[in-house]
Amino acid sequence: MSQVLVIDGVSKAFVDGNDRRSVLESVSLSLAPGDVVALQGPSGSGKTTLLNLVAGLVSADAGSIGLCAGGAELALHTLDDAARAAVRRAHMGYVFQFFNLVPTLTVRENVLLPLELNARWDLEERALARLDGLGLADRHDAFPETLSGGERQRVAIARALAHEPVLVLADEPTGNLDSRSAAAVAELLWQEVRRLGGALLLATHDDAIAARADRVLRMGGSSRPIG
Amino acid sequence: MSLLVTSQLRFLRRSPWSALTALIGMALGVASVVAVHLISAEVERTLNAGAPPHLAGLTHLLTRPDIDADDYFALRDWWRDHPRAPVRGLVPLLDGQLVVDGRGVQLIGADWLALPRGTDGPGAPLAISGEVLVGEGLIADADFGYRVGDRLTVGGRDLTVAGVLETGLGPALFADIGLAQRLLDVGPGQISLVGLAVVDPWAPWRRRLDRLMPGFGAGLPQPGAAPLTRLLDAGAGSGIDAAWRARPVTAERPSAAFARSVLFNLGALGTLALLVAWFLIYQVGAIWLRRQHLVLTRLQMVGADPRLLRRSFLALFVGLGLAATVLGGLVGVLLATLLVKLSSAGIDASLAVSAARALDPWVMVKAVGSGFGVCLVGGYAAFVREWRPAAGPARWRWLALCALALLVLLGITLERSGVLGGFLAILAMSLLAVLLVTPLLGLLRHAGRGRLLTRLALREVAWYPRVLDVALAALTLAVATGIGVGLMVDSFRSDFQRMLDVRLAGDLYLYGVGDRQGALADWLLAQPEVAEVRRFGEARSRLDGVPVALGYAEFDARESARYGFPRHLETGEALVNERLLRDLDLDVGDQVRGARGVNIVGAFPGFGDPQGRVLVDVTSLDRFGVPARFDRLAVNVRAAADVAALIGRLTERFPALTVEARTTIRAVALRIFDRTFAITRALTLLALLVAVVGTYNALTALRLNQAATAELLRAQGVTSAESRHIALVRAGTLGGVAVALALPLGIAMAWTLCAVVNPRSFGWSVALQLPPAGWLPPLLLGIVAALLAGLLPAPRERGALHDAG
Repeated sequence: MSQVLVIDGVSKAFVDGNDRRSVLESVSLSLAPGDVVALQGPSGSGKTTLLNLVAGLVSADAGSIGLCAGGAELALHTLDDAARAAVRRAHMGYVFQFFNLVPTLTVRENVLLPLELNARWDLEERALARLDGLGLADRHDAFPETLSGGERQRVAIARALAHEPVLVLADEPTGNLDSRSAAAVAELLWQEVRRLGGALLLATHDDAIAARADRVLRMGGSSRPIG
Repeated sequence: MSLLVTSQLRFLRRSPWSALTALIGMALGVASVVAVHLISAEVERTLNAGAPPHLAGLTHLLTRPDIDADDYFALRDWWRDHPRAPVRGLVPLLDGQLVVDGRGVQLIGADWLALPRGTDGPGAPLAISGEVLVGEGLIADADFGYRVGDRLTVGGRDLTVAGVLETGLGPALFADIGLAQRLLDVGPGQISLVGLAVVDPWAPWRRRLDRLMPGFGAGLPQPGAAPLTRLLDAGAGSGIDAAWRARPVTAERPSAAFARSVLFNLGALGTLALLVAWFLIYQVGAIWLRRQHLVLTRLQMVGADPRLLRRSFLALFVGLGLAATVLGGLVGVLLATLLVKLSSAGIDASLAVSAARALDPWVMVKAVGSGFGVCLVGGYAAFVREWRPAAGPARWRWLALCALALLVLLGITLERSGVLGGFLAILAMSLLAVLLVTPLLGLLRHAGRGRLLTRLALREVAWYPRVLDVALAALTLAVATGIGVGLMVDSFRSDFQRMLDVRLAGDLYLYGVGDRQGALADWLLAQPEVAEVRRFGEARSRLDGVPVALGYAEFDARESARYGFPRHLETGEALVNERLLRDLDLDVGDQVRGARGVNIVGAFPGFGDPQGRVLVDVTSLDRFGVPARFDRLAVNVRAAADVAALIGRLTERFPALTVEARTTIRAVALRIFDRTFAITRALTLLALLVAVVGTYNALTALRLNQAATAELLRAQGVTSAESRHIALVRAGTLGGVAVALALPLGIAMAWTLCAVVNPRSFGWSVALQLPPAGWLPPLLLGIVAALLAGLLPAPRERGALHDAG
């Protein structure tokens, strides 16, 4: 498999009491190394659900999700929770819109967290250099509560890339930033993912950000990808 | 229905787990309050039921050298001439020893009609039987074994038992003073004491406090002898002899004073349970409110009146509190019944929690006050605190710390502050520890070593003190109380064991010896198993107006050695316990006042004996005016002797004899001791259980507040095992901080109980010991409880979340 990620016919529905609401139906998608794919669509169209399915945070009702990482092909849909967590921590980085940082860890500690989880201290120097490169050289010992929104997102990017994953997932990474900061953060994310040779799958409402992606998948109310 | 109320009700429905744990927490708090009250009230009821009738309503006993009836009449004349003197009654009393059916019996004579009116004590029935008492009737103590209507012969007189009372005095007879004078064969002018009832301004407060916190009244100032002595001195110029000495009536019943002090201890422990329960109820409110913070903030943002928000929150919280009151009340009654049964099993005691007592208005007041009042006040306080910006290290905290430290110092060093001072010191040191919780947590704020997940967990404990501090304080108090009370009881038990080892010198004890002791001793010495027979007797006497137990035996060097004295006792020499030295303000080398030519040559530790005790050789008895009646024999058997065979022959030959082995007496005494303190231990456990629920609530609230962080960590690939590790570190840290504070606090509490409260209330000190068995179990229990609270699954609820990150 030359692709980093292959999603094939994935469906997901949520049950609330007697109501069953289908969020994703037979979604297929693939990402090659270096690809940047943007997911666009109205709220409730399933963008976050798709990211969570890929991350293994929720299980798909149908379909398959394959990840090629570390020379192995991993069928995520067949793995149990613990195995999916192991794949996630080793090969993926995740950036959220809110609550991106652990409030009780400093900037430096937040960035080093994936390295500790993966016991990859060989990457420490590079991860911290990346943090400096993102303009946070003087904020290593600061706690998240003292950072601006833009700074928090830059730290989140540095953390998502610290262990140099093959796939970065980003859910509205610029959603709570002004347009200038959003553009800057997006640029950083692009650059760093490409520098590492990874792939980026991001959900965004921002057309300007989506326009910079290699591909845009538009997800409609029916939750079928239309792009 | 208002949308605000709808919002609150939906929150309740959507958070069933939170509601349930809140309900359980509050109900447990109310249950502990109710149980402690009922148990204490029951113990107090049995104490009051067993009061000697001749002391009912009296506050002091007056005595003077060579007292007789003329002294009493002079005193009465003086009282009538001084109508403004704060005296409510005067009664002449006579006591002495008699031998009835071969048993030493205390005979107490009083002018029953002169006892103060309006007292609701057990003396009231006797006032009614006054007409019987002036005749040839007697009131007998239940311990004497007679029933109403029985006839008995004393000194050749045929008497009728007019009534039987539980007096706590042992074998005793009560009679009109004239009859008593005739039975004791003393002149008609002979009396021993004058009972006095003075106006006691603290009495109503003691009564009220006793109803609110049974047993607590004992901690309020008792009517002391000093003001009365001053009054008598003032009257010296107007016909009153300055030689009168006044003594509080409590000195007459040291065992009752001891029991009241135990009750006061129980009451004080109940106060700590109350404190822990109130902490918990407040904390439940605070945590619940915290969960609603975002919802309430949003409602405020859309224009809802904050006062309406507060009211709607309080209405729901108080409603939950009322449900908890009902549930907790029922559980409390069951718990009290169970604990009372547990502590009185196998003991000759008529303890029982009746339905009527369970419905006592004061129980209701406390239960509703805890469930409803604390919810209302605590909920309001929580609301105000939640919307107040977090304060830094405030100056008031240091002021409070200094004030509390001063209170501890004063309570311990000021002897005059009494038992109440001792307990105020304990309360102050407890609050001191509570105030140290947040600064101690602050030390973890920048924890910088170990794995990042460990650091994260440590810092979470430190970063959210508002969620955890109350629970941590409750857990600290519960563990410290467990350690303090445990160490005190263990130290006391150790002293008690030493006392048993000293007192129980024989292998076998024979009671009910009576007139046959000579023949019995001869028979025993003829048996091959018997190595030695020793005779012992005990009588009640009065020295300088103070009742004492007078023990006598053949005090050779071996007998003296049991009390740490190096040689035999000569005639006219006495050994006394530390209680008596304290009561009579005497020292070794002094002469015993009230006895003819008896010198104190040695003192022995009290070992928990509430009674003043004098030990003399049998040859000194006549100096106390007491007839020698050996009432028990101690038998030492030879090595490898067949004790069972000896007992068999003994009981066959002397069927009326009671034979008890030292090991049995020792085991029974220790069992009774352990059961007496079983309630204390059970209440300590209950406080710990309440604290565990509080800790669980707090940790759950922390987990719910940190749900976003948990999701973030999960997205980073943190596994369930690692999440459990975080939860364990969090809970373990909480437990660790609690025990770090609780250990010194508990030891300080134990020391205060042993070295300050005990001497002030019982008259003897307990040597504090720190065996690991005393402090380790509560410590481990505290940590295990915190870990359990951390490991129990957190509810998955759709609550409002907010996060600092």
